[in-house]
Amino acid sequence: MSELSPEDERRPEDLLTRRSNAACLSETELEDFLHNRLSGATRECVEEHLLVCPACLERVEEEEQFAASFRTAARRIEDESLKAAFDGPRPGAWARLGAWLKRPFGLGVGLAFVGAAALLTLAVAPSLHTQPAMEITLRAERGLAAAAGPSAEAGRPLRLNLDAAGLPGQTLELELATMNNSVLLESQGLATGNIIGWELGRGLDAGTYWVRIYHPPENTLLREFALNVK
Amino acid sequence: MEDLIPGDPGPPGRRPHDLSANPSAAEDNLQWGHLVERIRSGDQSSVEELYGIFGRGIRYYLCRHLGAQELDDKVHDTFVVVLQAIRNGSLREPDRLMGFVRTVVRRQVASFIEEAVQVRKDQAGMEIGGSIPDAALSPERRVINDERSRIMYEILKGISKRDREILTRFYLYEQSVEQICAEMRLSETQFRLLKSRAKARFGELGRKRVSRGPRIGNFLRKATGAGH
Repeated sequence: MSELSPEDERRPEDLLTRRSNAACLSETELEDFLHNRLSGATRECVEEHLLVCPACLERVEEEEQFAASFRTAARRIEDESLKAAFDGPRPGAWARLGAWLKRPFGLGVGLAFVGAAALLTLAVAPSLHTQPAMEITLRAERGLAAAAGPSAEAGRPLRLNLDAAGLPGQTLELELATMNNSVLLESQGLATGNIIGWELGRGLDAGTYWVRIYHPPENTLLREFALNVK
Repeated sequence: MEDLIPGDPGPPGRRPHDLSANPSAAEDNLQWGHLVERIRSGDQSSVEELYGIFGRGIRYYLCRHLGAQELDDKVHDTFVVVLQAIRNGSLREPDRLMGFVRTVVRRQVASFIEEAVQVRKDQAGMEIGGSIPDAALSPERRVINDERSRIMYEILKGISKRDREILTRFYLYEQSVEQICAEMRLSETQFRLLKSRAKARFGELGRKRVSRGPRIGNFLRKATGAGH
């Protein structure tokens, strides 16, 4: 909301230079109006014009939306910059380790910790192995079959095999989005034997996601898959 | 839209065209005068025409000064006041209809603010809280605003620090164009170009995101198939 400015006394010269209330707003007038910089007869004429001109009103509303979004984003960036400046550059891992070892009893405790870690690793190493990427094939399913398919495992790197049967044989755009339509990943893919492979290279948190295939020139949505992660 | 009541041959001489379809013609005093005359004569279509011309502008003005709460009621109340004032002869110069409507709207804003202040004063002493207007945005509006802010954040992160500073000075610190151009050493044309590019990019990303929304029921939904 903005405050209601008091009416200014109309000076004689305003009547001579008064803008017409029929004329559409210039860019400068629009900005001055939104920043409450107008006064007197000019403000009256601009406000009268906005009462009756849908085109100018739309420009004003568009500029207001843009400005509001800009302020929120700019404040966030400024906060991040301030925090980074306040925290200072973060020392590297080796520098932090060195500083800790220099503390009283730090070296002794550090050596004991390293020894214990080495013993633990030797004891459990055979049972440890890197989890390979989990492959999930997304197909066209309907009805009960659609609900019965297995889900991906949360946290495991994923490789998606997308059903591309019937789609154009060219490079297509791929998108992974959350249920709230926040885009997480974008890529491109080309079908090989009716399947487009997409190595996500990361695991996902539990939830439901959308995997979409787009036709590049017009960004036309060609196919959408639901991906359940548990 | 019919200008006249069916069956009414209308006044002799010049027939007015539809003012709502051509707002740039509103400066024509004869058109305003005829509209006022029709309203005073009880022509219902003229009331609809008046709403068509001023409705959106009044709504915007009230929203800007009072917020979105109960906006429909406030717009309606304002229109009632304008119509009553026209009918009872308070509008002495029909060709100044735009200025008259603006004055009425400003007085309505002042009246609503005064009423809100009085209500809060009356409720201040109550032990059991009275109604407190909820100034929060609707959930849908919050989601839209959040998405817009995310888009803008991406745009700002993607432009140079200098360009970001120029736009921040203008939108966040509300510095004038002249000051920004003088201190940042750029011409007004360069500033306008930067601003329009940022707005175009914002609009383009916004449209892209909207067009990529989930289309429930429109497309074949896929399910996770057999894992390997």
